Parts: sequence; structure tokens; C-alpha cells
Amino acid sequence: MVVNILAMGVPLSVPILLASIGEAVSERAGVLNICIEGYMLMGSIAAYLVAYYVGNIYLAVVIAILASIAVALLHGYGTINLGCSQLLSGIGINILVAGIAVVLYREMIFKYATIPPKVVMFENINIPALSDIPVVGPILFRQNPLFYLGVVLSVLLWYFIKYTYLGLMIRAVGEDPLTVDTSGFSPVIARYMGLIIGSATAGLGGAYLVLGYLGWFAPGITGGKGFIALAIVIAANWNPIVCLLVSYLFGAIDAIQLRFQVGGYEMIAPFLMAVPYAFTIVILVLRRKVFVPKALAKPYVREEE
Amino acid sequence: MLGITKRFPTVVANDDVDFRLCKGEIHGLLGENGAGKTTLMNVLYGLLQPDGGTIYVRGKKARISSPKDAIRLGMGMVRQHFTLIPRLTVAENIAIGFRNFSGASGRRRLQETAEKIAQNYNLTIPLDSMVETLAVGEKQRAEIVRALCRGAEIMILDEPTAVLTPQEVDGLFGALRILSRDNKSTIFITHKVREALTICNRVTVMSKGRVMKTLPSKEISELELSRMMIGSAELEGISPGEAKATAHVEETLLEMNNVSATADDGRQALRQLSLELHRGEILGIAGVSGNGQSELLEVAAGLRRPTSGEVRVFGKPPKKWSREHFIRLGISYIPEDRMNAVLPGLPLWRTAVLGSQFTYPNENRGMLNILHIKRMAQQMISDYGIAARSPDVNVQQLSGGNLQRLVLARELSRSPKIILAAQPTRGLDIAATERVHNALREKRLEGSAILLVSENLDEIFALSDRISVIYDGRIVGTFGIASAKVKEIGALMLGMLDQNRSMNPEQMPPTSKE
Amino acid sequence: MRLPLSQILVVIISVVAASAVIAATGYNIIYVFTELVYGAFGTPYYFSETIARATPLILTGLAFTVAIKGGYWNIGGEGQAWVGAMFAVTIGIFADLPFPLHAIVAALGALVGGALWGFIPGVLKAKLEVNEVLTTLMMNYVAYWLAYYVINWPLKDRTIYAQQTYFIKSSAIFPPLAAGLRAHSFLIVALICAIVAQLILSRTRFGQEILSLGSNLAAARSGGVNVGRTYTKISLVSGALAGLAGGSEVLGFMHNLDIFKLAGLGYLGIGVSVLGVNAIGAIFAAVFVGALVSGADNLQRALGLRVSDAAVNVFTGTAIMCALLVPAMLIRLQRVWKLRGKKRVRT
Repeated sequence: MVVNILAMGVPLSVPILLASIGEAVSERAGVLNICIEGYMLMGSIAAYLVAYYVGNIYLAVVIAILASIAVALLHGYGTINLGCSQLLSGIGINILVAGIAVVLYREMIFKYATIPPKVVMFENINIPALSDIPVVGPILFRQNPLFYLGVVLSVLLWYFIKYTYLGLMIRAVGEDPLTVDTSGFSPVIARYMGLIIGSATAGLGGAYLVLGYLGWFAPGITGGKGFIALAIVIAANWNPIVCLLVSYLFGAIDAIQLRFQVGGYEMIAPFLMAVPYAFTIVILVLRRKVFVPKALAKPYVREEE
Repeated sequence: MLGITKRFPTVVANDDVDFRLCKGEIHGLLGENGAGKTTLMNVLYGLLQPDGGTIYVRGKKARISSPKDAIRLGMGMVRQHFTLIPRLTVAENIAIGFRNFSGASGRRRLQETAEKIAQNYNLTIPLDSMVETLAVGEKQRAEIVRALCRGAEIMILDEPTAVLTPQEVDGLFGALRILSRDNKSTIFITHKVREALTICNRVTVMSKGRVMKTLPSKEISELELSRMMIGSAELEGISPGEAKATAHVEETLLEMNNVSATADDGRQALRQLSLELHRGEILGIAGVSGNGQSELLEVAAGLRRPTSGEVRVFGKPPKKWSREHFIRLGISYIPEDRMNAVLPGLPLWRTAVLGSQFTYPNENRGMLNILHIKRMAQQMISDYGIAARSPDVNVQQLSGGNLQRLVLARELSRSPKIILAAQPTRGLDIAATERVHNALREKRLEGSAILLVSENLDEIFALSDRISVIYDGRIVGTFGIASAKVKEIGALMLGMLDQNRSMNPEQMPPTSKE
Repeated sequence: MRLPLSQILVVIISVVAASAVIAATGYNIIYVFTELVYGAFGTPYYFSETIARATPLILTGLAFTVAIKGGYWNIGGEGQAWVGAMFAVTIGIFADLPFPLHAIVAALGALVGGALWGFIPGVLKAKLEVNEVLTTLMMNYVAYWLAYYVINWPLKDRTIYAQQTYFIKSSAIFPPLAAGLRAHSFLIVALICAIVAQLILSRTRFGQEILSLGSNLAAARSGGVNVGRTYTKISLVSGALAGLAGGSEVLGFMHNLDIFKLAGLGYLGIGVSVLGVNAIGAIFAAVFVGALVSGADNLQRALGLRVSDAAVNVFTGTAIMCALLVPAMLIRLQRVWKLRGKKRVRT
């Protein structure tokens, strides 16, 4: 049973995994996306609509990512170019996308079929030899391809920000946009890079919810996962690979809580669900001075004489 | 640089300045604060645009409109506030701005370049450590290495030794000499005369925005140099103000005994500093900025808690270390940066009442008596000549000078017993300056004690009854106005003499040198 | 900055824009617009629905406004409302008191609950400098799950198959303003709070401390303001107001607590605050959003558009974005305009 729970933890962790690794990069660049929820929701509805009307699962993923990026560009324009508050913009976008996604859903699907039709999904894949290993096998090697994509991405993104030039620029602009500007690299571009990466993975996470987990779209499908991603990023110290581990932790707790619901111990479920958030607060208290990117959420406006 | 002129609203920072730098030389730029040396270098580095004059680099006319241009022309600047990003490694900091470094091989190339440069010039730095873990000296060296990696042939160092230990200073000088031998030039901005003479080939002395003289360092002595910097020729004519003939010392209102305190960035700002402030006197603190003045006033205002030592107000240690308590004790504070004392975006009267929002009759059982406050603010407006139509005007619309007047008005109208004033007339024109001085003198007559910090020696001499010199976090000398000599004070300001220490023969100014 | 004028402009632009969005799904935009307005103000009943929806929003809007004037980003209004609601419903169900007293005590409970919940991030910021944005955000979720537990176990109404609590005793209810109307007397509490908040901010020492903290922290500090203590007080007041919002929904509108009804109050409150700019403005902005809710309900009826709650979000979201972007774009345009002349000088 334990193995089952641990195995169940993986699919539950995928959306927050995907969203958090991108957000880690975005926040390193100084862009706080309170609206991850909105990105994910946009990704979900876009993926669903494309999967339903076109049937091509890969196209659905691509469109989902593009849709999230489109939302992010709105957030980005307001905050990076115009210097508006990243918090207020993020909250506004969350509300807006919550509305738009449901409107789209109701207009384009729900009118015609009250029970949302199921769409093509990514089926779990079975990695041949490894999946037969007793305990670890079912947990790690019989999972959804998007999970493996997420793992790969987390390593790639970690490498990207740590060892490449663009990654360095992203880290630098999140600490001191002025120095980046003086050295000739546009801090605006650096921030947009972070933003786009963050929204792309969030959109991918939203797409997963539909195409890899549920099989259909429902309003509220994201259920706060975007905010959990924010917590994960903090707990993981803005490191994409640690995000992988922390998101699994959150996923496992979710799995445990689900198990309790069936077994007659449902009462414990809400407390379990609250644990990750309380945990994040504890981390915030302990880590209060360490490593928050210095320019996070601060608009950078170039001084013209 | 020829004929460089730079004007600010109230002062001409650079007045037709000529400055020439030769290849391979270490050229010292000397002067006190306000002399214009930092402004001149800011112009050179593209941070400011001159109102007049031209810059020629290697014989060709140059338009430097931003630091990017300056860097491209081969200049590098290292100032007191480091611009390295603390959370990145040294190597990463150097890498910012290098486009041709991509991937592992590029990184390695950069690493090798940096290591080679560091070795060549004896500037040891740990390339792979995060900047925030570095000691101050290492950070400075890292900045220099970064500038060199960018191809700097002209290094501009702004007060580099202010934060170094003597050994580190030696190390720095060694590196500068190697740079010089390698035909790279250095502009060495400082106010420390002895150092300038040690390391520089030539020195240019600036005072009040003008170049006094440029000459090889061999040809001048410390004393003459400091005399030039203070422009004593002009000062000789200034009368020391109404000195009070006090037979006995008045009651001590404020006392600091061996007070030590750290600055915000962790530096030791005050080192066992001691001073006394008496009723009815103006104690002027002379000193080049950065020697602990701000922290001194902050401690006296209740904004900064000393790490050791004792502070007594009216003979007793303060019951609470809070600004509110100190205000209630009657201590007013006019901070150096007026932007730290006003409330942008709010009506003027809210700034005017700041500091007295808990005293009757402004406040009564939690409620503000706005009518009274506005009347009070209007009074301030008329008494101090603030250019505002009414107390409801938004503070953002006031000019810098008017803000200064507002802050002054506010702090002085509280009938304070002790006034802490930092650069109170900065940015004010002559008439306004006179008004401020008169207000302060009036307060003195009423029995208040004033601790005046000013970079402007004229002001100190005009107002003070006693003058103390602060250097490196200590009071190094105190004089009554009658016995205060500009030369001596100037020398103390520049760190040359120390009344408290016995002067050993090496430090004595030579009687004849030329 | 002519405040009301630019805000009205924002409102108009956003309503038009949002109507366009809805209309893009195939309806006549004028029709959408008129049905919306009718649903908000058309009949006394609809108008009262607007007011009823606006009431808690006034309170959460105030909560954010008061905090932000002091530079304290309290986005935990949602959670504080939940806790306030839990306190209120508990007192409403179990306490045995006569009419006005019961209701008042329950409302006070809501206030205390919210204040407590808001206090925790506040004291963390005051003493330990922990960033309040993230802590208040996390507290929202903890509060939600706490409420989930309370609604589904201790207080759950076993007679109905729905996730809701028992109904509060009638002695705890804040009566409707007039028979048959949706608007209820908690509105009076909300309006009083708005007026009191405005008074506090503009005329008291506490208000001066808040404003100075929000304007310039360094200046406030050298002006004798105790920064930590003020942040703590702000967080208490802000939390209390949001808690009252929860109380409003329980004691005046729903008379019990279920897991859905409170959703979004906190965030919409932030939107209300952005639109309304100050405490009194929050009232109007709240009415605006309340109108959207009520109007959207009508849209659903009139057009068969099953999008009522979503439409509200579209409208509100657009309004918030407009409120943010429009002023910023105007400033940017202004600056560009000014620089057009200057471009010649630098050759």
C-alpha cells in the first residue's frame, strides 16, 4: 500500500513540478508570477479545446504553452515595461483568466455536452527493465511521459541558469538590474526570458492536468496548484532540481490525503493538505534573509537624465 | 579633459577644469568633499554630462554619454560602493558583459584571462567564491580585475583606501605600481594627503570646483598640499563668528563616552568616540564625509544603538533607545539626505507634523488636531520661506531647497534642546543659507545645544563655538573657536595629525622641505 | 491627478472591454451590456442583490486599502475572511443569546478571528522581517483547509447532503434591510467601517503613522514612528476588517457556511481596493463589482449564458488590469511626448 501511495504521489506532483521549475527561473530573474494559476488554467483550457476539436495531442501541448505565454506577456508588459506592481497585476490576471477559461469552456464545450467529453491522453509509459524492480519500479518507471519531461526539464533548467551565459544574465537581473543594464545587456530581455520560461512550463503543467491526469477540463481544475508552486519555489530555494524533490513531497502528501479519504480517516485530509503551506511559512521564517533574489518583484525603471 | 564645467542648480561643481592624464602614470586627484573631484570623474565616466568643455581620449575627441561608452574607451571605475553582485561568484560577475563567452570553453577562456590578469598585477582573488563572502579588500581587487578584464587602460579609483587595512593598502599600491609599469594609467581620488604623495606621480588639487594646481608629487610637501586643498588663502579672511566668552563650561546636555557603533554595511563606523555637547553652544564637527559623521548623529538621535560605550542625555542614560523617546527628550535631527525626512505623495502638513504627531496639541487622545497642525505648517512656510502655496500642497512638488527648508523648519520649531544638524545648508543659495545660520544662532541664544556636521569648513567656522574634528570614527581634536586654526583642523581632517596621540617625529611636518 | 475622473474612465473602458470579450462568443455587445446593467440596477430586487454582493467586498477592499497605505501587502484577506466566518458561524450556532446581542457578539467574533489570522504574518514581519506577501498567501490556504475541516466535520449539517454547516440561530442573523430583499443590515457595519477607516487614516495619529510608513519608511523612522509596532497594528486592523467580511457572509447573507461561497472575496477585495484607491472609494468600487455579480446573474437568465460567475471574473479582472495599465500607459505616453522635443538636442 505504501508503494501505491508513493507511486500515486508522482502523477499528483507533475503539474506543480512543471509549474515550479519554470517559476524558479522566472523569480531568479526578478519576476514574481502570482498568476501561475492563470497560466496553468489557460494551458488547461487551451489543451482541452485543441485536443477536442483537432485531436492532436502534441498540437494541444504546443498551443497550451503558447496560450500561457500570451497571458504572461500581458503580465510582463504591465510589470516589466510599465513598472506596475507585479502583485496587483498577477492577482488581476488570475481573476481574469479564471473568468475567460470558464467562459471558453462553457461556450465551446458545455453547450453541446453537459458531461465533458474525454480527450486523447498521454498514456503512462513503462520503461522496460527498470519498471520491474520491486519497490522503486512502479514508482519511478511506470509514469506519464510528461513526468519524465518534467524531470529532464528540471535538470536542464538548473544547468541553464547555472552554467550558461543567458542563465547568468537571468540570475544577474534578479539581483541587480542596474549592473546588467550598465554592462550592455538589456534587463528587459532578461526578465522576459524568465517570464516566458516560467509561463511556458506552467502552461505545460496545465496541459498535463487535462491530457495526462484527468482527461477533461473542469472549472477549478487547477485548484490552487499555481499557488502551491509559489510555495515550492521558496521551499526549494529557487533551485529547479530541488523543486523536483519538494514537489514530489507535496504530491506524496496529497496522495496520502486521498488515501485517507477512502479509508474512513477523511478527517485528517484537510490537515494534511494544510501541512505544505504551514511548512512553507516555517521555511520563510527560518530563511528570511537568505537567497531571495534581491530584485524580486521590484520594477526596474531606467533613469533618464 | 579641457574646460570641463558642470553646474548644478545651486552650485558650480566643476568650473572650467583642465585635467590631463599621461600614459602609465598614477595621478592623484585631491580635494575635500565638494571640491568637485568626484563630479569630474563622474563626467569622465559618463555618469554625468558636462555643461561645457571637451574630453579627449588618446588624442581623439570623445563623447561619453554613459558608462558603456567609457568602458568601451578603456576606462574602469572602482568606487566606494561596490557594484559587484553579492550572490554571484567573482568569475560570474566578471562574465557579465562579455558576449563572447558561451558554453564551457568560453567560460574556461574567461577564467584563464582573469587568472592571468590577477597574477600579473598581484591582485589575488578567489574566482569561484561568492562575492558576498569576500572581505572588503578582496572585493575591491575583484572590481579592479573585472575592469581590467574588460580592457581598461585607465583606472579610476575613488577613495580606494577608505575601507582597507594598512597591509591591504600596501598590496593595492603594489598592484598600482605594476599597472603603471605596464603602461596603464590610474586616477587616484583621495583626500588623504600622505597617501597621495606616496603613490602618485603627479597630483592635481581641486578646491571649490576649480583646479588649484597640477604638479609632480616630488615638488610639494604635505602641509602645502593640505593648505591648498582647504584654500586657506580664502579662509584667512573669515572671522570666526561670535565666539562666546564663557568663563565656565555650561551644563553638559549630551555626552558620549567611548561609543562604538557599526554602520549598516557592517563596517566599524565609530571607534570609541567621545564628545560633550554643552548648553547654548554650537559644536561643529569637521571632517570629510564617510568618517562616521552620519552614524554619530544617528546614535545621538536614537536611531542607532551603539555596540559599546555610554551615552548620556541631560546627565542620564536614555530610558529607551527609540527615536520617539529621544524626540520627547528634546532632540531634533536634521538628516543629511533630505529625502530621508520627507513624505512624498502626501500633503506638506503631514511632513511638517512628522516627529510631533504624538505631542499635544497636535495630538489629543489619538486624534490629530488638523486645524492646528495646518496652522503650524503655514507658520513654518512663512517663517522659513518655503515656496508652497498652502500646507496641503503635495510634498513631491517642492524643489530640493524647499524640502530642506521644510525639514529645518520642522525640526527647529519643536523648541528642541539639542539639535543635530547634518549639512543643513546643502543645496541652498546664499540668502537661504544666511537664514538658516541665523535660525541656528537664535536657537543657541535660547539655550539649545547644536551639533553641527558640515563638509563646509566656512560654515563650521562661521557658526561654531567649538570645533571637533572627526576622522576614522574618532574625535581627533577639539578646539575653541578662538584657538582654532584652519591649517591644523584641515590637517586633522586629512588624517595627518592626532591631538590625542603623541606625534612621533616621522609624522611631524618637516620644517623645511623645498 | 483628478482621481475620480480617471477611475471612472477605467471603469468605463473595462466594462466595454469585458463586454466585448463576452460578446466575442457570439452575442450582440449592446445587448450584453444592457442586460448586465439591468441585472444590476433594474429592479429593487436586483439592486438589493448588488448591494448584498458588495457588502463583504467593501470590507475586504478596506482591509487591503488600509494595509497598503502603510506599505503592508496583506493578500491574506481571503484566509482572514474564512477564519472570521468560522468564528461567526460557531458563535451563531452554539451561543444562546437574545437577538441583537447574539448577532453583535457573532460579528465581534468574526472581527477577532480575522484579526488573529492577520496578526501572525504581521508580527512575523515586525519582528523577523519576513515578507508578508508570501506569508499571508500561505495563510490563505491553511485557513481554507481549516474551514474545510470545520465545515465537513464538527459543524456539518448532517441532514443535508452538501458541504455546509448548520444554520445559525435566528437570533444571530443580521436582518435584511427590507422584507424580501437580499441586502442585509451588515451593510451598515460595512459602511461604518469604511467611514471609520477613512477617519482613522486621515485624522488620527495612527493614521499618520500608517501613511508615513507607506510613504517613506526612513522618514517615518526618524520621525519617531515605531515601525515594527505599526506594522503589527496594521496587520491586526486589516485582518479584522477581512474577518468582518466573512462574518458578513455568514450572518447576513448565507446564514451558514459552505465551502464555496467565500471563494474569491479576498482577491476581489484587492481588486476593489485598486479600483477604489481610498477607503471611501472602496465603497463605490465594491458596488461596481457587486453590480457585476448581480448583472452577470441576469445575463445567465437572459441569454442562457451559463457563465455568471465566470463573467464576473472576466469583468473584474479586466477592470483591475485596466486600473493598473491605463494610468501607467498614460504616464508613459506623457513622458514620450515630452521627450519628442528633447531628442533634437543630443546630436
